[in-house]
Amino acid sequence: MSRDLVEDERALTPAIGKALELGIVVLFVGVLTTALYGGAVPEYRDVVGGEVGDRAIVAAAERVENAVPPRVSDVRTVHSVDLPRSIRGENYGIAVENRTLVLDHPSPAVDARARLALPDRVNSVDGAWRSSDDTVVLVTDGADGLHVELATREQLGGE
Amino acid sequence: MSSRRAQANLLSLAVALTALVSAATLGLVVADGALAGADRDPGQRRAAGAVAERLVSAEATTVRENVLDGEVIADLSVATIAELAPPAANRSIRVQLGEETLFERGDPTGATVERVVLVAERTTRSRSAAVGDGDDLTLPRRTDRVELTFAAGSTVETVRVNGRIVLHDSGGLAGQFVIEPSRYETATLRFEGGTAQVGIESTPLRTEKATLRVTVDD
Repeated sequence: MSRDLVEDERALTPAIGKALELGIVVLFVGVLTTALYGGAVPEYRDVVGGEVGDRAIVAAAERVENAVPPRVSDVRTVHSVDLPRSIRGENYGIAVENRTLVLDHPSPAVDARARLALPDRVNSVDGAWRSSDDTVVLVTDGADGLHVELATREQLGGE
Repeated sequence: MSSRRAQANLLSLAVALTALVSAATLGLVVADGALAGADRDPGQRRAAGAVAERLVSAEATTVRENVLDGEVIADLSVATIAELAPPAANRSIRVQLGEETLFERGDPTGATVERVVLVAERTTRSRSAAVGDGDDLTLPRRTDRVELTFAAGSTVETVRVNGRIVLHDSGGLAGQFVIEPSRYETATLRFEGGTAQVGIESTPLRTEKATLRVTVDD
């Protein structure tokens, strides 16, 4: 009995086996990645972005409140404010609306606001920040009270 | 027999994938737990902090920094709180001084901020004395406001507080005067130049230590 060249399909077994394994693993990785990035990961990023946004706005509000000096005249103070560079991977802005700091972020999941508790001698609050800026709070004295402004270091000429 | 053996390692692959799925699921469960643990409300703590901070520093509620005005603080209202600390508006809040609850809206169980403060009460002390030339009179408690009333017929020309002349009239002081000594030292009044019947009314601050406790919820 000659062993060579007998018609037999067993030679393909390892090849088909490996191909099957490969296919199954690729399919598995694909399904897992889709499941994670299609559902869990964006949801987590939203939740974490929301939390970070809340904390960032609260920290900024406290910084603005602390920047207001005691009752003095002829005052001009500049306090720097540390903001997270980005939230949920994107830059954002902070604006003032009616004595409320409002976080302005491209993602609707990140939304935070904080009302400012300021003494009566503060007359007005305005200005805006971008997270990419070197942000500061500028407090100046006006005829009818203190003026609080959200500004950047560049606007003040590197003061 | 050989046909059954053909894809035997697919079985081990299935086991491996099952293990991977379990690991991934476990990871998601842990991540969920971590997220739930990190879910705090910083706004709540900030509101409590802002109320406490404004109460002890606003001119409306204090005598000076960190010294609460006992009378004002005893009747806090919704409007006062909302005006002092806008972050606490529309939240349930409780303000306690020591064991006493000064203000309560709702039943908050959230963030609590405590501050040690002084509570001041302005008391009035009146006395009347007949003084002669060169008489000294020491006020028993420190005060920043003394009202002197000289009866008619007074011949006192000069009043000194701790050596410093605060009132002088060579024709004799008569009528009512307010002097403002330093509240950092005990004031000794000295009358010179004659005699008089003087009514002395001082308003010393009586301060007590207390703990201001602010609890805020959503």
